[in-house]
Amino acid sequence: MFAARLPLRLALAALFLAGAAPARAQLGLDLGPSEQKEQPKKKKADKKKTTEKKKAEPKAKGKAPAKAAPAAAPAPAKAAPAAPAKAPPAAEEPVVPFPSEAAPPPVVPPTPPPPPPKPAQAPAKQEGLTVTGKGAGKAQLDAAKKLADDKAFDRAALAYHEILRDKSLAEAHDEARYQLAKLLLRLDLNYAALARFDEILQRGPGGSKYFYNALDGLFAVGKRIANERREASEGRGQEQVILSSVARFAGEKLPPEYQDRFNTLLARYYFERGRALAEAGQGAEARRSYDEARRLAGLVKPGAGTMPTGGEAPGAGDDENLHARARFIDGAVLYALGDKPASLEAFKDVIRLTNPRKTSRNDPALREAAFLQLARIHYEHRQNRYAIFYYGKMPWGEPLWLEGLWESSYAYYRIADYEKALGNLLTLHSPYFQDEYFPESYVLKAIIYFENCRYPEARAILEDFNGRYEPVYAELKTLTAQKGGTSAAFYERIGEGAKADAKAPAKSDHAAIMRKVLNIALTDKTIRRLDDTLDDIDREMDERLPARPPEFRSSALSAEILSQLKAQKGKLLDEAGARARQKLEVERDALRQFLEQALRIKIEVSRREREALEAALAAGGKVDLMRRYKFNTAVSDEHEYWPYEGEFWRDELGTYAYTLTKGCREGPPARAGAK
Amino acid sequence: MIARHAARTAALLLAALAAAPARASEADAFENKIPPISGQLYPKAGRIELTPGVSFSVNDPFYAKTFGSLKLTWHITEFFSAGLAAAGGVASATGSTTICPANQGCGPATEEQMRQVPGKIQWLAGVEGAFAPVYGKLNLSAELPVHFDLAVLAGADYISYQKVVDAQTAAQGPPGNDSSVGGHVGLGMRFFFAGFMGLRFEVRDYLYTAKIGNTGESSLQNQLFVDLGLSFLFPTSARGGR
Repeated sequence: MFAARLPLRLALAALFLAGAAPARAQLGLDLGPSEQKEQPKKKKADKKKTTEKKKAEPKAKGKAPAKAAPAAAPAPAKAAPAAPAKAPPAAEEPVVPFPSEAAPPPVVPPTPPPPPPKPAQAPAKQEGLTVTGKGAGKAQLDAAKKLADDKAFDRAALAYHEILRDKSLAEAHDEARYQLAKLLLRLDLNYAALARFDEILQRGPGGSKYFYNALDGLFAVGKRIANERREASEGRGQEQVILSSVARFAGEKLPPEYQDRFNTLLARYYFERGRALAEAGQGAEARRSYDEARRLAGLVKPGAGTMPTGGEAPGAGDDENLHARARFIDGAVLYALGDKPASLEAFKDVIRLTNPRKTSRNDPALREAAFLQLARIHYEHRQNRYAIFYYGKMPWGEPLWLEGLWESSYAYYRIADYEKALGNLLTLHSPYFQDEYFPESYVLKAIIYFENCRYPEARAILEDFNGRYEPVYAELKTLTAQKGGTSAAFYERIGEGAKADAKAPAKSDHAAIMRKVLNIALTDKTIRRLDDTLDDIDREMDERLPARPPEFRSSALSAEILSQLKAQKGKLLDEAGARARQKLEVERDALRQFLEQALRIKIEVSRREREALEAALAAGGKVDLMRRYKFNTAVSDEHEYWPYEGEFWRDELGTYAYTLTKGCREGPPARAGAK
Repeated sequence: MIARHAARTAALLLAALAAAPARASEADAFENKIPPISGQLYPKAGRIELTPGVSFSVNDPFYAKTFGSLKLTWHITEFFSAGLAAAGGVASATGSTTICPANQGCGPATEEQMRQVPGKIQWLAGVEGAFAPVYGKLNLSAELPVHFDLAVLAGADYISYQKVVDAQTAAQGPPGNDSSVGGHVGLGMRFFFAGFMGLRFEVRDYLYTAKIGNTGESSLQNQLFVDLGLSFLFPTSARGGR
């Protein structure tokens, strides 16, 4: 085994793609007829969305992503005891092939939301406008403003809140609400600020002079949260948290500087909606939604980049490329519509549009996702070498890299490049990624050894697989069998179980299993996003709010914020719990299949071993099943050769190749369809 | 010989100087997410290392010292260790000291004259702390990588040396020994042969004061030593974790 190392370059990636998957709930998808969306009665429409979303979800469950084989699962050769893993969803789903994740649609660039009708008059920002209210209101606003000018932000926030509580100062409420939101943002109370901006936005352009400022603020909050997550090295971060807010303004007419972003976000919204409708069997409506997504994506102007946020979140998303994102969504829609060649072209366009040598808006995460989609489409069509080419283009170490590495091992397997397939699996099974959930990788590894007549190794791998995943399966069974209780409680049980057990060494085995279970749930990008948001809210409640001065902490404003956060947390927990249950049910079933598959392989291994023994008896001597393979360790000038000695070096990850020194005497069995 | 991870090594050295945590290459997308090495082949943390070896003085014009040494080190972590060391042996005149009196030809310094110069260390013992921020491997040949680590050393020592006397005293016979407390700084490398054994190579500069008889003043002495030892690590088997 050796590791060949290519020079690596620092890739600072905006990891927003981790959150790229669809957050239906967060999007607040409206699965009703499109016409309804354009009804001005937003509140009613919102209610309807919720109801219909719930209806649609069960369908989604069924498809829920099971981390599994790449799109089209390689048909294991005759000799192979069982089909390697789960067949990719591609055939049935109008979704970009997600080899390892059946349900989630092509990683749509994590762009958020919506669009808009035209403002009767060009909406102009009104920041700083003072309400020309009478007397008291104006005086109090001035007083609060003075506090803010003096940098007494806590007291200024309390002053604005006092104005809001005084019904007799109604004429000053609009400005007070906006200023309070800004101050909360300044105090790093992001979710509290988000709630205030949202209040303003709910009033619509005609209901608040600060509508567009609030919209700006909304983006600022989204970017700040995304930035904080990125800084925390969580590898994620995007304005997902604001999607649900922004999506409500699909019918609003917005100022030009917002339009590209809104069109991109809304295109994504319609794509997600189309997917959900397609899953729910509403083909015609899904088609309309897809068409709308394409139309909106087409409106995004070439060269569109990140939108300024009034200096609220400078530097956030500077490499964002809205045009490329829109094109990506277009590609995803085309794929969903079954037009694979056009979809390929769209993704290739994304690659061109994000070429770092030609643009500073190279949107690394989007580019990575585009490579992955290209690889998956080629893989799906059994163009394995093309797939390998694109998998190889995915930047090393970026959020989707490991997934690409895993999928590429299947492509290598298909072309019988076992060395590279096993090398990739070595990376996947390295201690670095022990918490990652790729159970099928063990099955693939066993199949490769089996196909090379390495029966003892195949058996050992399967034993290892069983040892690792049987307890996980048992825990999944137990967990998903528990009925009753709220979804929130279900989610908390998983999380707290893992945490509590981690502190008790005596229960470390169970803790490890619970952590795996939690990680399985978190492989669902929507759940991951919800989990991130829950962490953010906890941080705000437990760290940031208590860090305010006593007068702020004991104020009605603080109590109100706390209550809002708790309510929001409750909702998110409910949603995370419901989704986690679905996800774990799907994973439980998938894992059961893998375990069954492992058993079949074991049986096949035993059969082969018995045959060998019988042949030996018949021949009156030992029958040698194996032959030595020729191999050499030569590498290109760009690489260095390092023998693998059991030690993992971070910069070697992904470069391993396993030198299969021996295999079947008659050569590996031919596998149908392998190219 | 290809020095692997040169950039990493440099970065690590810099990091060490800055007393910051070890960092991998800048071009490393996993940086700060996962450790640079996992399943380390030659871990040291928690192990005891016993190193018998030899030390040679370097660059001393008066006395060449050849000592036997023994060093006992406790590796507190992968990076930090503390130890005890002792060395002692033979110090002989280098023969490179030439005296050129006025109106006479030059000749080698006599034994009597050599008693008037410093550097005749008899033995030394001390404590030492080390910080080893660098762990790397070298590809000596295609399939023979050698793992090594690199450490900075510092310690305090008790040094026993022959008194440095004035001419009159020197004529009376061999002077006795004197001693002083000094210290040392140095660099060390360890090349691993196996999980329990390695070659240790160290360069140390001992600093101590010695009173010079002819001037009556104390003078700061520098003695540069090169140590070469064979290390044995206990327990003999260990494997690094994540």
